[in-house]
Amino acid sequence: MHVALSPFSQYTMRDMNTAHTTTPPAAISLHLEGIAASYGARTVLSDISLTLQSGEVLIINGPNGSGKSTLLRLLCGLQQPTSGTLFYAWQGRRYAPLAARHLIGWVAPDLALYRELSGHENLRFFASVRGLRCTAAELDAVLARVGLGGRGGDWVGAYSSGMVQRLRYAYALLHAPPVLLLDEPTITLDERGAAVVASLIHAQRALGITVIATNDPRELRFGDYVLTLVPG
Amino acid sequence: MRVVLAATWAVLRKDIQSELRTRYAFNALLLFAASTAVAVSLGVGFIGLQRDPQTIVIQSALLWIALLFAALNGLSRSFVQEEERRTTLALRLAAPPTAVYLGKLVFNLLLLLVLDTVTTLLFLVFLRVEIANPLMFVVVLALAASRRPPRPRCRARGSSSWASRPGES
Repeated sequence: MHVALSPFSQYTMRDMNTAHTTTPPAAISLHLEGIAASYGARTVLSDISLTLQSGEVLIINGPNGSGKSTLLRLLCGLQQPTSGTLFYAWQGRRYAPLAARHLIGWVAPDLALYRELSGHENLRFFASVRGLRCTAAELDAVLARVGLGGRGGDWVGAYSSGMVQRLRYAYALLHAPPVLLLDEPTITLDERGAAVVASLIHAQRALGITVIATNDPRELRFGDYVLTLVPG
Repeated sequence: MRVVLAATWAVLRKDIQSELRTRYAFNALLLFAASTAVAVSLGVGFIGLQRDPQTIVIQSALLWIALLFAALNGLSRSFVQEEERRTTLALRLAAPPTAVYLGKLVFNLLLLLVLDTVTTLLFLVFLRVEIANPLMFVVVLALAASRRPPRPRCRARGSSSWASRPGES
């Protein structure tokens, strides 16, 4: 297993993004120290240490099976590391990933929403369980932000794969999280959808941290740092 | 606490809404209850024509066995459904675990109440069961439906204790 974390300054996009970044309102930071993860006897990740600050974007890339999605699952608490320490620091407190649910928005191909409910009903449900009181207009605004304006009343089962991906973004952004974790962010999206994602990642710089797992070389431009995972 | 209660209500409301649209658990339970009642009726239907104490005991035992197995068949479905549709991840990241448990517990209790009612009605029709004390019978059914312990070990124990009271049906 080889892990390389390199500054991504060779891409001009970094300077452009930094230029747009204002002082982040939510000073959140992500800390990984000696993180390792295994599936049975097979070690997927080992000895990953890094710190990410508000306004920064980390790209995780590597071939299939190198542990990109696993690392993202560790970051949102859906999986526990075999060893190491992982926490978010926010407002003077440390949060383990699963205790930081209210701070995290996660988009991934694994993320399924309720097909028998409409997009609007899905968002209303997830807002309710998060303790948010959202009006219909606010939910419509979230849907419009991801390009689903006017389609909120349709059942998710009738959505195309690209529309489902957009709804995943609505689910992730509903509570305006300071941490955005994106696994294959533009998968199944058309060009307009990819542009929406680019704007969301750009806007997230003002809110906090973004971590993106991707194999698409075009998405490297979003990042400040690249973490390259190589299966050992 | 208020957040957990609100989230519990949201989970319950969502489960009911999903169930009304998909009838995922209800159809399975209904099929089981109907097929059991018909099968029992075909097998021991003549019992219904007799009214001796032993017949009443057998009818009661059959009813509780049908309720028990229908419940075991259907209770896990609200959780299994979340796993099968892979919505568990979204739920885990958004909802407090306590709210998910409580919401699904209440949903299962409601489902069991419906199941009790349907199964009992089917038994009344197919086995010609006579209820000596209707009020007590309804109370016992409601208690049976509300007795949903968290661990299967307790569930089996509780069920056998109810099944051992045939005189109440």
